[in-house]
Amino acid sequence: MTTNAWRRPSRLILAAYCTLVGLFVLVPTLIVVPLSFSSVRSLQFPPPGWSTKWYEEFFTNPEWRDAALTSLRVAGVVTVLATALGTMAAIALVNSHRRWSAAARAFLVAPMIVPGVVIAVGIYYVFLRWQLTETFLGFVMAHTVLAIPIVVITVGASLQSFDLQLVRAAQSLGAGPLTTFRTVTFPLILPGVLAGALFAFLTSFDESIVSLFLSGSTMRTLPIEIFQSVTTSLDPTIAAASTVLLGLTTMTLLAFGFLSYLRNKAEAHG
Amino acid sequence: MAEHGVGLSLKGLTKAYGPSVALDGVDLEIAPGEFMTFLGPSGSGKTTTLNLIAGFVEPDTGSIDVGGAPIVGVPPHKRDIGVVFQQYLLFPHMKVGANVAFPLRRRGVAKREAQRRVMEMLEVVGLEGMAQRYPRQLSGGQQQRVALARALVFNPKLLLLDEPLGALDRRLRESLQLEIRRIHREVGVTFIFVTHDQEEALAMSDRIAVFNKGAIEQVGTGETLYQRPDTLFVARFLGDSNVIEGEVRVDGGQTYLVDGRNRFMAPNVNVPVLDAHMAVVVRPECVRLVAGAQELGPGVNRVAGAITEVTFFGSRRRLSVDVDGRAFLVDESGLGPAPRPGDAAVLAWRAEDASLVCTGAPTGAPRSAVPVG
Repeated sequence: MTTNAWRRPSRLILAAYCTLVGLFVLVPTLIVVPLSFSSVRSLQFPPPGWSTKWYEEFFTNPEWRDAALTSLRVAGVVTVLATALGTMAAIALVNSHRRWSAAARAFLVAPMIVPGVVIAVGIYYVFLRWQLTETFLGFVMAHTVLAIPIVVITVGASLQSFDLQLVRAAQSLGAGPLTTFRTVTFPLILPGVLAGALFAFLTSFDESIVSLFLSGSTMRTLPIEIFQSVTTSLDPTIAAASTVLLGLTTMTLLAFGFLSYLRNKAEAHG
Repeated sequence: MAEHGVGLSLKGLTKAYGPSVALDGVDLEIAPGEFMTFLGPSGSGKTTTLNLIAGFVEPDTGSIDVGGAPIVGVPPHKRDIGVVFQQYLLFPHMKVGANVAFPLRRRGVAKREAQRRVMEMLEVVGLEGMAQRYPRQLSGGQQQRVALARALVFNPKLLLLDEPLGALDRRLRESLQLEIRRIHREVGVTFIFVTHDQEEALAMSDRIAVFNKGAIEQVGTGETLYQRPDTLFVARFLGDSNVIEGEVRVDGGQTYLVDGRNRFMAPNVNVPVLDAHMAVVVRPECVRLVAGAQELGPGVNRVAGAITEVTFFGSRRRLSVDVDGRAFLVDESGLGPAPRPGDAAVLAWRAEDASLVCTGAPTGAPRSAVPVG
């Protein structure tokens, strides 16, 4: 009895505390959603009236549209490149000598640990010389480097539960190295590869520090366009753009969650 | 099914991993359709030899011929050799049917033909109706049957089995031993079976190659290895034995082994090397208890001692007898009254029932046998 009596208020306090923390984290982010539907040309809260004209502005204004398309295109190419390269690297790591693989892994994951601004300055300096700033290729290269670590980690985690002996079994049954990868290794590490691809997409789509250095008047990504607008115009199109960004990332994460839910269900049934 | 066994020939195989020598000169001929077992303790080189045949590892020197064709340097997926692993290694994302069809699809067998052969092979291993299950829905024994079907369905030149029953419990192991023997008879493929279990080796094989320290100690049928071991290692690895070490002497056409206190008649089969340090091996079932005064005839050794232990095993009884501080094992029928610990006992065995074996200890330069004194 005493434990129950003690338990109930303590659970309530815990629930209240969690809700507060959640609100504290979410509200500043979510406040852009009502702002984006405002009827007036100022970031006024609460908005005096409602309209969707800032979304119209976002999708029709060439500056916003170009930035959004650049972000999507860069993120798309980065997803493909980083997933392919990161998966290959992760497979090479489990197949190589332990001493070398530890060093190689540390090197591959370094972009995650080195401060972003340091990487940004380095890349900016080199890309200036190579004339890669404000170019599609420049964004793709920089973002790919930043996205590879997350792929190496997720695919590496999948490979942990993959029995490398299965490769031998496949070989003995007549499958060459490529066929073995296609029919055995890849299907079994696919969850890790998909997770890696998703996070690679988000890494590129959200990336701000390096992009800030690489952006200019001829080419910029969506986060940089938002940043630039905040410092100059402060109209609710920023809120609309932020809401689009937020919606896209949230949907990607939800899609991933749904996929793994389906897989768990299939496995429980299988 | 048609006979399609293929012979295998290993010549001078060596393999070293850095400073440690895994194989030190392995030579072996395996006949088409034979059931050959590699038997030895872990680290004796039997699995390394298997990996060399499968192509997972390449030898430092030596040659491997399958059906007369050299295969060293051929990648494993082009060798047409089936392998069954201890951990089954079924593909977890494929159903049983797809697992068994895997090698056929790699060989471009048409879908319907593949389907037919998969069903046929599942029937051979007693798993008809299981094609639509996933491997994780099967028991360990069933999974190993699927692995067997998968490794045999493409009519491999050889089937290698790497301790395939090691992960199974005893009863299941025994029933699968019989099953594997039956499948071997049915498909006629040459089987190479690796195990460290001597009973398994004796029960299953046409011939056994006993591995020790990276080399083959002796090759022969189970009966030959058990009754006529060449070396002390083989004698000790296969079954229990009484071992008397000593120097070889020859006297009046009879070979003797002298261990300081006693002189034992040894079999005359091997031409003995005089003064060589060798050992006489007597299996417990070849030793009998005799009445002290009984006339034994020529060629029979006799020692006296005291019984220290009696263990009843149902069909037989094992006695441990102390003879001058040396323990002798004696197996006798479980029928009749049991002797008791402390009883005096006289043991006898025919010299011809024992084996004279090398001890592995260095011996002097071979000399011709000269009668003693």
